Amino acid sequence: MAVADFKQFQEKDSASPEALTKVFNDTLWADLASSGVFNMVSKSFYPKAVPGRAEELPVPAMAAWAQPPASAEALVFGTVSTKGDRMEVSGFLFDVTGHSTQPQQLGKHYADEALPEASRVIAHRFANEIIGLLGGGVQGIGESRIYFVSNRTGNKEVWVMDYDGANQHRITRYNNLTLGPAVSADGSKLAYTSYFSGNTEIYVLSLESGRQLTFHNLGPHLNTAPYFSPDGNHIAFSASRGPDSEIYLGDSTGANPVQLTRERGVNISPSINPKDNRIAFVSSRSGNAQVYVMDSNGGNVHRVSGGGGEAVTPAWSPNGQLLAFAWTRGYAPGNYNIFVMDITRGNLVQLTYGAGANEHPSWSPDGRHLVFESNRGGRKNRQVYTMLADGTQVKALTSAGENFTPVWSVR
Amino acid sequence: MRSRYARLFATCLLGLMVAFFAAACKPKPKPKVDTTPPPVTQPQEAPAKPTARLSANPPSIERGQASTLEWSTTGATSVTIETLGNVAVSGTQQVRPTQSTTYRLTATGPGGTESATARVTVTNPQGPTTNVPPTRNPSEDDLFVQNVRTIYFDYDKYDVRDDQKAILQGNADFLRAHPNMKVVIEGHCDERGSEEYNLGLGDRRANAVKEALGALGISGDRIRTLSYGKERPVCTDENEECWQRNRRGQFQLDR
Repeated sequence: MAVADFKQFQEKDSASPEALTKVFNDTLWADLASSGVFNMVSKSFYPKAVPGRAEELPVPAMAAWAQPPASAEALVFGTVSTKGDRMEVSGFLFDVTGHSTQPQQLGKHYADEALPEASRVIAHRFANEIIGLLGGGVQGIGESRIYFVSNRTGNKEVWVMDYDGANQHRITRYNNLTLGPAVSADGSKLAYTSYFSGNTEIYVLSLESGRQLTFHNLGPHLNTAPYFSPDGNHIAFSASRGPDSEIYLGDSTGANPVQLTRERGVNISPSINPKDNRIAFVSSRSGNAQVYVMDSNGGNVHRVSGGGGEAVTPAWSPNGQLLAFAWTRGYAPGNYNIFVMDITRGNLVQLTYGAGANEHPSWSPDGRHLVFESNRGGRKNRQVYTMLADGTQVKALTSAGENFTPVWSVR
Repeated sequence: MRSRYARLFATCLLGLMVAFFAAACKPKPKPKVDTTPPPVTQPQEAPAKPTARLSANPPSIERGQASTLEWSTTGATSVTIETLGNVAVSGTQQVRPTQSTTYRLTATGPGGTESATARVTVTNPQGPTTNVPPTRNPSEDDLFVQNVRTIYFDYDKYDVRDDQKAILQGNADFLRAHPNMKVVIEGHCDERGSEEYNLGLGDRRANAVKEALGALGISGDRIRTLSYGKERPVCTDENEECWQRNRRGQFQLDR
């Protein structure tokens, strides 16, 4: 796939489109390159004549793109114009192989305020259209976001950022210890644990209104590890009514909790399968931390992490077939790597290979990427990283303070 | 083109999502198996000097009342506060001085030492009041700190070790002799587990100590538990000596 720099146009008495076009071009390229779907042709191979409008690419002109050195099959191009304080973007996707009777696959038009942030959003939307069309029908992640915990203000609070690390900003303002965010499948609600009241309690926040929603914590003991059910109507969590922490499933306010585990020790970190509602979780029942899976009613418990080491932080993929988790197999205690298991077949793949701690994987909505925390940059320097689900294209998204326990949200 | 692309990219989709093991539609590097750990590179510049912050709230009390010290530090491996002794790198502590006192915090780390102070002014009560709270013996805080000691645990374990039972007995004896005292047992872990699992393990440790005290005759009504997981280490070195100091059940006077 070739992605030409969009041409810029400026109407009289309008802002310069130069900065906006650069933001647009960079964002569009990054979204398409990191989608894991396309072989990107380097811009250095492009022909000199680059189209801006659809009419500028008649069939004879397409050959220049389909032949070496570009050897492209698809070409993305268009224009960015400023009109007064507004910007307009026209984007096209063409099949340049010459084999198609209808070369134009996409022609999209966008308009917004002439601001860099608007330019970025338009680029995300257009990239999503291309990925949605060519990527087997799965929605692109250009507008998805990642919630995480950061201590850069001096306290651990929940923050959010775009999927590519842009627009990092703080969500909670307790000026206290706040941990372990979870986000609902539709991106409308955020849950986390905070010490604000003096005890470990779960809070639920509406991301649409910014207001706190009711959550009934089970009691004056440990209440933590909230996780939304796929339909958003239930919340799983861990609480220690007695000496042991157990997994519960309550409704969306935590009321009517059903106890799902009854084992000694630690039972924590529930993750609910988006397709069949099975629950993966961590338990110390066999002597140390291991990952287990049970039915949504607590039955049929079986252990996933066999052999040596400790396993924590399980996360189901969006298609419900894969379970990612962190495991110390082969390394000293505390040195986790990210593994993915195909639950039906039992196949296991190791995605990171290093000493140090790589933990808390979370899947992108398209199932092609994982976000996780790693201290590979320094023992006391945990940061949030993304990678393709095959372990390649590892990229750090954060750098200020320490940043960890990320969760990927659809928006 | 659509069907060709759909086939090509559906294969990509499947290749990524279900079968990592089949050949992908574009060559992807297979993860290499490292047999040696990669070299650890450390920054070469001098470590930053620690920072320290200490506050007392409220800063002025009547004799017999309490103020809460709150502190936080960065870059410190050891923190002490005068009259309290060794404390965590950040935290809170209620104090009940009988006269105006300036508390001094000293934070020491590889980058040097930093200190911070906070003053609590103590005034005489204004006169008889109708609702006089039970006056505590002002030295009770000191007595508690001297006589109720921390319990330590093995890695990933929450049972009370044999070599800790004498300490637990001593704690129980003291609490029995001071029946009006209530305690918070804080459960802590070393840095190596995941954050969430350590919250659970710290909680289980606090509950184990509470249960053990119950067996020694101290009522659970007097005991609150709170897990800090690995959030409040007393040291940050990467060795067993420090890890053991962090795997603990710590007692605080509860109001």
